[in-house]
Amino acid sequence: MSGGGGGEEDLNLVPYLDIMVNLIMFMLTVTAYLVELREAPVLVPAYVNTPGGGSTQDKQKLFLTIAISTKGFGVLGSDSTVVPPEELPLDTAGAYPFQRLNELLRSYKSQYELGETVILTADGTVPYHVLVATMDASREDRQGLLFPGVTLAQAVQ
Amino acid sequence: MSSEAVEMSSQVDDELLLRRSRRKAPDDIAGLNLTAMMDMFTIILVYLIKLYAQAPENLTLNDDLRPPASTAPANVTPAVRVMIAKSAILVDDKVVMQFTPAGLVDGSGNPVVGDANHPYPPLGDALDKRVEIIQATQAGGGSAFDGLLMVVADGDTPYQVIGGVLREAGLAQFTSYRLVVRHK
Repeated sequence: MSGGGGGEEDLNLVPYLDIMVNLIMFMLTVTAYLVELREAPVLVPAYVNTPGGGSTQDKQKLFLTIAISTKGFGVLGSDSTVVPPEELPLDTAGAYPFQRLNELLRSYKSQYELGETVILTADGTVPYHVLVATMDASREDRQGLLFPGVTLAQAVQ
Repeated sequence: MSSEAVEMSSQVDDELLLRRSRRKAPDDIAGLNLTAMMDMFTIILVYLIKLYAQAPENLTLNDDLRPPASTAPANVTPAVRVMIAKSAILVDDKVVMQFTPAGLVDGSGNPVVGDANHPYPPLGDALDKRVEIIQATQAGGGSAFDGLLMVVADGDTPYQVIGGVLREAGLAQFTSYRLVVRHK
């Protein structure tokens, strides 16, 4: 450690460590606010004549429609003589009965020859989070997949 | 050995020990090794950068835009993005419409007049322009237009608005829609 130049001089790591510590603190703060996102594919009726658009319902003989209103759910079959319509009103707390819908869809799925797609329609005022929760309830249960495909119909005014 | 001689010998031993300890002390301080700490910091930093890079879409979520939580399993794929916040509708981070107390206004502040076929004309125009750009890029050798649209909407958005946005997207030749949700 001589000032004359010929001696061994240690590399000063302190500034480098300062930078590293600051970077790590920044990255830790940023990653704490990262939200894990997923996506749910949906179909909508074809508005223009393009390949790949539209729904798959025409290929499916018997299908279900789930209508979401401000009073609860309505589940309708494409043929009401085969699948009886069912209404699931809001529970006493005013919440949507997602669990009951899930159980009803499982019973329909095991009783009738239904495909993998349902049509979802809703009152125009129904919030988006209810729609997504309904899609979750109709997608699967503990026994497996129910209706992973969703076709969104126009809002009911 | 007399007691005096024993006492002197022990004093000599103490001095020797003291000298040895004085000689060793500077060596201990000079030997602080930072290499291990640097290694550790570098590994942590690389891990955090990789974690950050894996986030496919950098969305700024706040009270104005908070997508609902869902059990949807699919990972987010990059696409044209429409964001429906409480206060505005954006196409690829550019405001095309705003919800104001007086009603819907476009990016310039003019009231939006829509009908059943075209509920949100400014949004339709913005999506048409986006498709034109993608198709022009495709003609120049870029990636093809796949008709994929990513919809990031706030959980409280009424279904009527979602339906209107999807209708405009359908008219702009988008054929595949992905609703972006928070992982439950």
